[in-house]
Amino acid sequence: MDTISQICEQLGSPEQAKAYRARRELAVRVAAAGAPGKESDRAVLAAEIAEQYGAMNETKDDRGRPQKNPRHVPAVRNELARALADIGGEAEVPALVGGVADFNVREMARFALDRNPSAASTAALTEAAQKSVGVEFRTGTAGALSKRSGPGVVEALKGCATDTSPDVRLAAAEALSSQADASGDAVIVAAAKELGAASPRAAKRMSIARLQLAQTLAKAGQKDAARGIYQAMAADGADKAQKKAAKTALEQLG
Amino acid sequence: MTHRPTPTRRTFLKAASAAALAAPTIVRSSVFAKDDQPAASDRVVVGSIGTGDLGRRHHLANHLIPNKRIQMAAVCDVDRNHRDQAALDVLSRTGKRVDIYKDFRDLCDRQDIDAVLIAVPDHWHALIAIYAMQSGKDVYCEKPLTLTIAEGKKMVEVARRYGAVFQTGSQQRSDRRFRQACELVRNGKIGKLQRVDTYIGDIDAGSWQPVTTPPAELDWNFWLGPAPYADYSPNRCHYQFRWFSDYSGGKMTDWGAHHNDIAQWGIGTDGSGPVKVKGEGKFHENGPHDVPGTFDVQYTYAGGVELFCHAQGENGVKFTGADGWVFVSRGRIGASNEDILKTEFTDKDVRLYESRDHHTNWLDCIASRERPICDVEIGHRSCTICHLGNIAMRLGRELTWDPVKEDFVGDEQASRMVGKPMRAPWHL
Repeated sequence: MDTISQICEQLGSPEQAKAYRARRELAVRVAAAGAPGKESDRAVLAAEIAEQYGAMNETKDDRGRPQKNPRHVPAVRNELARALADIGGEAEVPALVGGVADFNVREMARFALDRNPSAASTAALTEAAQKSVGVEFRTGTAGALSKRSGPGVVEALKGCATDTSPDVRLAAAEALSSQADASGDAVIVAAAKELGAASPRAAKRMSIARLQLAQTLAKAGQKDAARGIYQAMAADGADKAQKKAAKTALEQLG
Repeated sequence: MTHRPTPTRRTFLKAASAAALAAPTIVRSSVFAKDDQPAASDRVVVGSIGTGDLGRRHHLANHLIPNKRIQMAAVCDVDRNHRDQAALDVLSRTGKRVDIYKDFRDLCDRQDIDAVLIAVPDHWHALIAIYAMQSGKDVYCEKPLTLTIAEGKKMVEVARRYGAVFQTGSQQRSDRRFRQACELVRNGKIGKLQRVDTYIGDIDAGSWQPVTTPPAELDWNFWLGPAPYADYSPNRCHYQFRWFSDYSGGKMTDWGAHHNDIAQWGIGTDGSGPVKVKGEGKFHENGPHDVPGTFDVQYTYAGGVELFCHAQGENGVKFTGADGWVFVSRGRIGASNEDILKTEFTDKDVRLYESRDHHTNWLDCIASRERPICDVEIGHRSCTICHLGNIAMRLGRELTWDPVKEDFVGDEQASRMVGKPMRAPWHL
C-alpha cells in the first residue's frame, strides 16, 4: 500500500490518469478512516495528510540565500486540503492556517477550515477574516463565518463590516444576518445607508440580509427583535420583494 | 356586450389574494383567455437563464416562445454564443427583440420580469434560484435541483419567505402514466408496497483532454462560479459537467432526480425521505469522470419500504407490492396483471395532484399562487435521495438519515457532506 507521501508524488504527476487514481486512493482512505468507531485511524491519517500539506523543502533563492518552499505544488496541496476538509479535526488546523497564508492554495485551505467543525477552525476563520489580505479571500471567510456562532464571530464580522472594501463590508453584513444577535441590524442598516446610495444592488443585498436577520432572530425566539425589523422594513423604502416578504412574515409572527 | 376593463396580471393577483382569504378557490390564469389569445397584460413576463442545449433547444423553443401566456423579455448565459443564439431564436419566431445578459443578477434586478426559467449547470441552480426569489420572481428550475442538501434546505426556506411559486423541472410528475402508476400504488392495487426499483443508467469513463484556453465567447470563471477553480478543458463544460462532482452528482442526480422523484411520489414521502442508505458505486479506474459509473444503492424508509436505485436495467420505475407490480417509464406502463391498469378510481380513492403539462401547471400556479405539482420542497427532497446515495457510495458504509432534521445520525464525516463551501464571492 502506498504511503501518503507516495500518493502525493502521484497526485503531482503530469499524467492525468495517474493523478486521478491517486485522488481516488486518497478519497477511499479518507472515507474509511472517517467512519464512526475509527477515530484512532482517522487521527493518524489526518496527521499524515496535514504533515504533507505543510511540508517544506529548504532551497536557495536566485541570490543563493536559504529559503523554504512547500514540498508539494499547489495542485497537490489543494487535493490534500480537500481530503482534510473531510477528515481534518482540531489538530490539523495549524497546517491549514499555513495554507491560508499561501496565496496559491488559500482558497482550498479556507474550504477545509469551513468544513472543519472544531473551535480551532472557527478561531482560524475569525482571524483570517480580520487580518488576512485580499478582498475575495476575506469575503469568502466572512461567508464561512456565517455558519459559525459565538461572540468572537459576531465581533469579527462587525469589524469587517466597517472595512474599507465595500465587498468585505457587504459580505460581513450578510454573514451577520445568520447570527442570532439583534445588534447586527444596526450594522446592516449602516452598510445599506453608506453603500446603498451608490449601488442599488448593494442596497438590495442589505435589504435581503436584514430580512434574513429577522428570520434568524425569530427562529431563535427573539420575536420582538424580529418584529421590529419586519415592521421597519414594511414601512420604509425597501424594495418591493423585501417589503412584501416582511409584511407576510409579520402576519405569520402574529 | 358590456365592456369591462381587461384585468392585468398584477391587478388579478391582488384581487385573487383578497379572494383567497375569503374562499380558497383556485382560479386558473386561463380564465383570461379570449380566443386563445390572452391579453398582453395577462401574460407572464419571463426571463430565461441558461440558454444552452436544454435551456434553448428545449425550454425556449418548445415551451416559452410558443406559449401565448408568456412574454419573453430577456435571455442570459455566460456563453455569448448561447445567449445571442437564444435572442435570435426569439427574434426569428416572434419578431421581437429581447434583452441579453451575461450576469443573471442583471436580469433578476429588472422589475418588469415576473418569472425566470433556470436551465444552467447544477452547481449554479441554488444561487440563481435564490437570488431570483429574493428579487420577487417565480421560478421554474431544472432538475437536479441542487448540488448539495444544504442548498435545497435554503431554497425551500427562501421560497417560503418570499412566497415564490417554484416548479422543479421533474416533468414526469405531469405525465399521466407516472401519475397512474403512483395512484395504483397509493391505493393498494398491487397490495402492500414492499419495494421500489429505479433504473437510471450508467456513464462511460470519458477521456482526458489537455487543459486549454477557454473559447473567447465563454466566461469560464463565471461558469465555474462557486465551484473550486479548475483549468478549462471542453469536456468539463457544456453537458459533460454532469460527470464531475464539483458541478453535479453524475447519473445519480441527472436521472435519479426523475425516477427517484417518482419513487417518492409512489411511496408517499414527499416532504420526507428514507432513514437508511447504503450503496456500492464503481468509479472509473482512470477518470476523468469522478462520479460513480455504475452503482446499486439501497434505501430503507421508516415504514419498511425499500428503494433500490440501479444504474443498469431497463430505464424506468418498478413498484412491487405483496400482490403484484407496476412498471412505468416514459411512454410505457405495465403491470403484473393487465387488469390492474384498468382500475377505475373513485372519489374514495387517493387521487394525486394532476397536471397534464409541467409548464402550464407552473403558469396556472403563478396566477393562482398555489404550489405547483413539483414544488421546491418536493424537488429538494427528491434530489436529497440522490445526494444520500452519492454520499453513501463515496463513504462506502451504511448511513442513518434523519429526514426531519435533514442530517445524518452518528456520522460526523457524512454530516460534513450535507453542504459544500463555495468559492468567493459566492455563498448561500
